[in-house]
Amino acid sequence: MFASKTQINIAMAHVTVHHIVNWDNYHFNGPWGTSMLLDIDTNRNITSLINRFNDTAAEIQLLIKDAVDNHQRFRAFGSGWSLSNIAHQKDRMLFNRNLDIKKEITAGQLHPKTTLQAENLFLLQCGTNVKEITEYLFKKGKSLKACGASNGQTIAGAISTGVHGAAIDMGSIQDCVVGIQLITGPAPGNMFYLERASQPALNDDFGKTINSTVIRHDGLFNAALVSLGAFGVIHGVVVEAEDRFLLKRYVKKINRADALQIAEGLDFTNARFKIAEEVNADGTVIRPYHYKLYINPYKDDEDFVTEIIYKKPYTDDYPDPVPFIQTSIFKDVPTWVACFAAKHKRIIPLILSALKSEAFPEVDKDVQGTLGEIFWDTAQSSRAFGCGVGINMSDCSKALQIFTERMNTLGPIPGILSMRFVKGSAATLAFTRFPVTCVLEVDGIPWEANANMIGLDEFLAEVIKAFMAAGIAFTLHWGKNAPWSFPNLIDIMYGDADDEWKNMRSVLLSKQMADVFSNDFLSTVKLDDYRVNLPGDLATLKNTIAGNMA
Amino acid sequence: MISRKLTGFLLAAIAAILLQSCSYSIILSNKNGTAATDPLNTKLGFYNGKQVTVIDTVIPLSLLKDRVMAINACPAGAFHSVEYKITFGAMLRNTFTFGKRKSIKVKYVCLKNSN
Repeated sequence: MFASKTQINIAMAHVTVHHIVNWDNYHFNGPWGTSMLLDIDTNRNITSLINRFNDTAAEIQLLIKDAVDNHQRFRAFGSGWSLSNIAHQKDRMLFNRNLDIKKEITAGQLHPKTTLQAENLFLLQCGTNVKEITEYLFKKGKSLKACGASNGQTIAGAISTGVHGAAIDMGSIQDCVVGIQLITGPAPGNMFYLERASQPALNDDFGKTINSTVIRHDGLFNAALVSLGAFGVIHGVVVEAEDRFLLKRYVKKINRADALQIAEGLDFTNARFKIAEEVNADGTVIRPYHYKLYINPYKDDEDFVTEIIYKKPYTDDYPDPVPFIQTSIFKDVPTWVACFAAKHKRIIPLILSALKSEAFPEVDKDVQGTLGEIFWDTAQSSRAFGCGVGINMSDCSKALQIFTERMNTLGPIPGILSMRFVKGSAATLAFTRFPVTCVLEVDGIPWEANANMIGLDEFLAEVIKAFMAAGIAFTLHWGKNAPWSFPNLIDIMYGDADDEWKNMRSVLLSKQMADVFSNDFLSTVKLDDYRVNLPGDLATLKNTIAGNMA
Repeated sequence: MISRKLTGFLLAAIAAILLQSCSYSIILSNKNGTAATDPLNTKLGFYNGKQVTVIDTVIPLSLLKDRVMAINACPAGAFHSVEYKITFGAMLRNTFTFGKRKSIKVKYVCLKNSN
């Protein structure tokens, strides 16, 4: 990447300006053309963390103003973890990884009607990544309620795209968020602190502390929660944590019928498969925290490697799980394998079978650790693709059958399948929108489409058509690869929810700023249009917000 | 003549392979903390997105105190990872200078200086 550098210290936080040509994400799914990368850091000379936090917000507003003045679009990003181009902006990209202020909430900052406890609430600045959060919370005796399978995503990026794990009764990372500070433009009134009206968390004084107009509105909050970066810059969030706990991870081989019996209803009580250690003395079955199936799509007679994790009270008396976890993390397959496979696709099933011990966790090795230890650092040594299709849990067997059938008839393609199960989210455009979403995932190494082998987007488009033909409702993970230009994709997936989301975006942002925070991804999925004529109640809400700002 | 050339080539290849095995590197990584970031460092592998500093120099023994070389390295006060590379040439230099000149090939990444 070519870059020239300028240092700006406008007044406060430090910004290094890199004039670049291309930008790429963490998993090398690009590159995409970009003209400017703004690397921002807080002003460490400001000793009060909240003053430092506010100083950064003011600096971001100046950067937005400069972008607007120069007719440039603007988008913040952190780890660049998404495999789609959702984080990309062709004009100006704000690199926010160094914005990692973390702060406890005090009892005096609670809303009088809140049911939340101050000791569980924390203000996190946008660039704090999951590992930093888990380490910080651990020192406070707390833990995130859920995270993804790895720990590199920033909090703002994770919630904006719907990063999830397999917490069957908890949900995704965004479902821990109870407050969002948004910067929607350069003007003094363009900073908001959003909460749900039905779940107030912090009082109005807190909003004043962070120089933000407080808005409590369920529709606005739920739309801004999975915002795809389109609602402005998420500068900070308030998350609800819980007391730290341990996770006990089992990896078992379960025959397909028994694994899918559990998958279709998550009814562990009446399941044929049980883990002897996780049955109470009275015979009742303990409900796990996490359920995930690993599937070799090219061997239909193989048992499923199944990862089942149980929540346990915290104790410090357990062996360090990290050395073992490091050996069981999915290892990337070298890129040359994909190149070779693209020319000789018939060998793909053989390659995947040969690499099974690398790609799947080791069976019958039980391990215990904290959330941050079990979902440890992932290294990446080759380009990668990943696609996550969300479906209703009850459709999972049918969807799996269709997906594997397409992989075998249209492919083979160099990827393995897995299924995770996540509690539904209230976020308007959460891809985990079913009561329990089964996330059917394919992960592997990208290849070049050729006469001999179907391309990834083309393959996934065929899967979508097959799901539609079978009447299976589905969604696609925003941060992963997908045929995003598929006709009417968003309407097919979300019905009227995308209209609700666009309305809320138009309530909060001016037309000009909605364009500034748009990007190619939003245009591709047709979520970038602005609603000038809002329905009556929302027009009133917009006017009220404008009145409060004034 | 051809067989002589072939033998020579094979010997050279074997020597190259053996010498290659005399050179290796190891990365020690801190379990805690996250790495200092560099958004422009887009290279596949361990260092992707990390701010890497390379020390590749030869120093006289006099610069070391009790085999310790102090460097003013990381604002956060700790390393995220250190990669130490041993090469055949470095070992030869150490041997033939009776330990008076030492090659140092180190890559390190600092811990991110968190707020």
